[in-house]
This record gives sequence, structure tokens and C-alpha cells, in this order.
Amino acid sequence: MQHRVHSPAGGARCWFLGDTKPSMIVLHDVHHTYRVGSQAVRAVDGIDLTIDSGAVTCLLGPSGSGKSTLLHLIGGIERCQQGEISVDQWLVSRLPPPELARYRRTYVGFVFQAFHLLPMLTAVENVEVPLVLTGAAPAARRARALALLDQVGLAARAGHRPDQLSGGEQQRVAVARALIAEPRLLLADEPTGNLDSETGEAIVELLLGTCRERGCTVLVATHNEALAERADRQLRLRDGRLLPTPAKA
Amino acid sequence: MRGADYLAYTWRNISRAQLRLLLTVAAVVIGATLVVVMTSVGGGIQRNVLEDIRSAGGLNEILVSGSFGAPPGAAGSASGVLGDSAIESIADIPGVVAVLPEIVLPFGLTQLTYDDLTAQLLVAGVPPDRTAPYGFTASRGSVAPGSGQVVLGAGVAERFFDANRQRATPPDLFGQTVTLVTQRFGGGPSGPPQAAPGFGAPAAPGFGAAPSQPQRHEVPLTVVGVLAPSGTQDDYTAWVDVDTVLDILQWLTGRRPDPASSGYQALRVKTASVDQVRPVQQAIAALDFQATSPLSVQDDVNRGMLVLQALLAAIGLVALIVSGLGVANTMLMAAFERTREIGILKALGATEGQIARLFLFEASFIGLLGALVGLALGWLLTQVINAIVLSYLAGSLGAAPGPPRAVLHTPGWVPAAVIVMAWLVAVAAGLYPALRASRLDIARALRAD
Repeated sequence: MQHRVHSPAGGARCWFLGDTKPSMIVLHDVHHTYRVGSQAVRAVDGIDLTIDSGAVTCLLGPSGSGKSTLLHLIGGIERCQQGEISVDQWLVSRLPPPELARYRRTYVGFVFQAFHLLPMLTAVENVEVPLVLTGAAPAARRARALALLDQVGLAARAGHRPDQLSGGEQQRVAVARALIAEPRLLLADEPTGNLDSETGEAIVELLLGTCRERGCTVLVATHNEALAERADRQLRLRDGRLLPTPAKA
Repeated sequence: MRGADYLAYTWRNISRAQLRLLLTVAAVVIGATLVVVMTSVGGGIQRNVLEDIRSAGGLNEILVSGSFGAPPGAAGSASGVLGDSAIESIADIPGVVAVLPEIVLPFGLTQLTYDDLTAQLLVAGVPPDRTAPYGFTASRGSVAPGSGQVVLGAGVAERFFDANRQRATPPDLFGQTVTLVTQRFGGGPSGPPQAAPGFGAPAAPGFGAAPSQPQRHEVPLTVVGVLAPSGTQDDYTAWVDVDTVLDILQWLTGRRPDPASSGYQALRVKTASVDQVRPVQQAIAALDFQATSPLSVQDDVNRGMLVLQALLAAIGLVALIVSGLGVANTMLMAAFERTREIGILKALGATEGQIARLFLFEASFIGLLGALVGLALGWLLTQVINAIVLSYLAGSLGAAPGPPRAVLHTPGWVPAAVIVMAWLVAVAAGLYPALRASRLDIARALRAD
């Protein structure tokens, strides 16, 4: 079945898809190279990939296999040098910078290994940031932020700054922040990487439970095999390439 | 992103580096203060000069000066003579209301004494019959001083000092007898008389002459009138008839000027309105007389003061621009230190414009805060300087006529100009750091420490 993919900036491309199921994320022959000094490092080397809407997919692989880069490319943090990436109606690989920012702001939620909270803001203010960037009304965004903090079990810590929170608490705040704009796609890069196993398990539970509840498509880069077991699909990368991995039934 | 959010984020970021903020703002404060003080210097000069002009006479007055005092037969003595025919010619010019001939003794040449009180003031000799037609009005008594009489300006009584050089309580002089005292430092009875500046008299004794005892010439006068306040130099003038002044000049110089042949020292010409000053002045110049008016001098002064003000403001502006370098450095440091935060914001969907505006808001904040504090400090400094100067002048016996005046005056346009200039300098300084921050690569920024 052919699917016509439209870029919000205009123009259209046709992609042949071998599956009859509508795919949310489509990557076609994506390449991305870093320069490290005089050496070129192929972080992503010719990846073709489709991910269904609403699925929880894990990216597994050793360090340097290209997991984070792939997430960044799909999330619009980096732009691939070759190939096409489309996410739903967004032709991510071709979006101009302002549209790319809008895509990240309204469509994608990020959870990072290092939490990446803004140190001068409190927990509730950190959660609010995506809505601040969209110009949402202060009262409404504060109410939503508090509700999300309550959902992640941190209502009592709303007024604390990141340096006053534990690692697990900071990641909970980051999860709440990732969800406040009601994204259709959630990208998590090693969300439990800086946490102990117990805390990590709690975060995984929170992340997957909340996203499944909301019908989010989730893409998680992780070393955590326990997390991978709970995903709908596992993809393994090595040296920037996808290894053949059967999808979970 | 809402304006209030920009402000909130600006405040949060600035609060994190308070010492750095303080030092950066201090540089802007110094620049702004300097602009305020320098323009106040210019403003004070302009205001005082304009007040001097206005106090010399009303804006609808013209002063015609002549060749009074030149010996008969001297070169140029025939031209510019302000005698009766000149007075008639000028009075006939359309728009002229009245003409008042006068001979004025320079300030400091004579003193007025009453009991043990002394005042320094201007003494003008005028034809008594011309003072009322010219518009002199008395608050008490007459406006026409006859022989042995004097009419005092409204503020003369305030000019008296006692024997200890302390300002005296203004005495009620109406009807009283005061003494006009002139001093000269001659070489004895046979020595040459002293100069009366501006009256073409013989020069002072040469260098090396033995110091001589001062000689006093005293003229008792009855105060027959006190004029109504005019707000001009006339308030600190004593008006006597012409002969009294000529007598003093004869005693001083050994020669008695004759208005009939050498005319008067000056003519005061009053026009019907300020609009007629310029055409009347031109008509007087066409009669080959030198005429000046406070109005034309005021125009010239204003033109010159614009240049002076601009120069002085430019000096302060240089300091303000230099402070912009501090702002630029601070913003560059901030962009460097907050690389990761910028990456986070961009990853969450902040546009390049939003990042740039965050930095420009910070730069604006620094500029505006510096401008406001600088304005306050500049105002305070001008007040302190004025207070010191006024305190000094108030106790000075030799002060010129009129109340002591502040030396610094801040023109009304300065506060707004300082705020705008400081803001522009800060924004210009913050532009490069803002653009640099907005264009950071997100992935690299997230990896930064």
C-alpha cells in the first residue's frame, strides 16, 4: 500500500510500505556522521525503520551503537545528513528550524539520562517549561503541571529546585515535563541510566504505564534488559546499523 | 512565550550571579551618571546665561550702545553718538514705545551705605522725566529721582551686609538718607586720578608706584521711591539723576562727560511687543547704531548651547558605550555558562528567536537598571554640588546682583534620553551573545558541562 507523506512546508513524497498497518515513524536510508577531530564516525549507517503508532519500542545496543543519535534524529534534535525521516505528518528530515522547534514543542516529549532539568526553576516550573514555550496561560499550565506532579507522586515537592531532589525525583519531574504538552511521541534516552535499580524500575513503571494510558508512541534507548522485556518491540543496533530482530507477538 | 515569562526567566538568571550583575550594572551607572552631570553642567550654563540675559532687561527691550566717554575729536567719536537727535530718530521707528537714555556706573565702582550697612549695586543716571514714560512703576513713592534723590530697585534692601560681612536684615529705606560712596586710589592730591572702566579715563598709576591711601567721595541721597519688582537686574539698581553720575565721573577721572556733545552711554528702547524687537533692532542698525537685545542674544546663546550640550553629552556617552563592553562580556559569559540550559530549552522546543530574546531581555534589564540608578545618582550629585556652591555664594559680599543661582541644571529631556541611550547600548552589546546562544547546536549543548 502506498502512503503519501506530506511535509507541513508543502510538497509530497510517496513511500512504498510493505505493511498494511499505518506506521507513525518511517525512516528510509538514514545516515548520520560525526566528525571527531579529523575522523568521521558513522553514528547511523543506512537505517530503514518503521514504528507503529502507540507502540513501545526499545533500542538496545552497546555504547556507541547509535541509539542516542537515532533518538535525536527522530526527535529533531539533530538533522540527518542523508535519508528521510517522517513522523506522522511531519517530514522531520526536511523541516526548517522554526518548524522543527514547533515539532519538538508540540509533538515530542523527551526524557534524558541526565534528567536535564533547569537548575534555577522549581519542580513545577520545570514541568511547565514546554507550555511556557507555547505561550499557554499561566493559571492553566500551573494547574496541569501540578496535576502531573501529583500523578508522578511529587506533589509535595513542587516548590523544590532540582538540587533539592534525589535522582529518582528529578527523573520523575522530567517524565512529567515530557508529558505536559500531551505529545504523540515520547523519546527516552537511557531514562534509568543514572538511577539505582529500584528507582529505575519505578521510573520504567511510571513511564510505560503513563504512556500506554495516553496512547503515546514510545521509543526508549536503553541498556536495561528488564525494560526491554516490557516493550512491544526490541530493536538492536550495532555500529549504527539495525540488526535483524523479530518483533514481539 | 509571554512577556511576563521572559521577565521571570530574566530575573531568575540574573539572580544567580549577583556580584557579576552588580559590577556590570555599576559600569552602566557610572556612564549614566556622567551623562546626567555633564548635561547638567551645560544646562546650568545655558539657564544661567539666559537668566542673565533676561535679567538684563525684558525680552521686548533693545540696548543701543554708543561712543560715550571718548574725548572730543578722537577717532570714531562723531559716529554712534547717542544724543538728542539719535534719541528722536530711534523714538520715531515704528514699534518703539519709549526710549530711556542712561549712564551706568559699573558694578563695584560705588557702594550704598546706610548707618553701618553696605550694599554693592549698579547705579544708573537717567533723565528723571523719562522713567515713568518708559514704564517704571513704583511700589512706594516716585519713579523720578531729582537732584539729591535716589529711586531704589525692589531688591536693593536685600543686598546690605553689616560690618562683620554678614547679610543684614533688609532695612526700610523709603524716606531715609543713604550715601553713595565712591573710592579712588590716587597718588595724593597731586596724583593722577584712577580709571573709571569703560569711560575712556586716564590709566591707573604705573607699576612700582607707592601704594596710596584710598580717597572717598560721598553723596548723600534721599530715597524718594522704591520700584515694583521686575524680575530683572533693575531690581538691584539705584536710579539717580544724570548729573549725580556725571559728578562722580568727574571726581573719578578729572573730566566731566557732556551728554549734549558725547551723548549718553546707552539707550534703552522698549518695543510694543516681543514680535517687534527684531525689525526695530534692524532699523536701529540701519541708523548706524549698535543694538543688541536679550532676544537676539538668547537665540545666539541657545544655538551655541546646543553645540556645548551635545559635546558634554558626548563625553558622558563615551562612558556609557564603554560600559556596553562590560555588558557584552557579561552576556557572553552567561551564554557560555548556560550552554547546557540553552540546549535543554531548544530540545524542549524553544526557537532561536526565543533564546535570543531571553538574552536580550537580560541585557535590557542591565541597561535599564543602570540607567535608573545612574539617573538617581546623577540627580543627587547635581543637588550636592549646587548646595555646596549656593552655600558659598550666599555668604559672599562680592556676589553679583540677584539671588544666588544653581550652577547645575538638568534639562527636562535628559532622563528619557539617558534611559533610551543606556537601553540601546545594552541591547547592542547583548546582540552578538544572544545570536550566538540562539544558534547553539542542541546535541553539543546537551553534552556540555
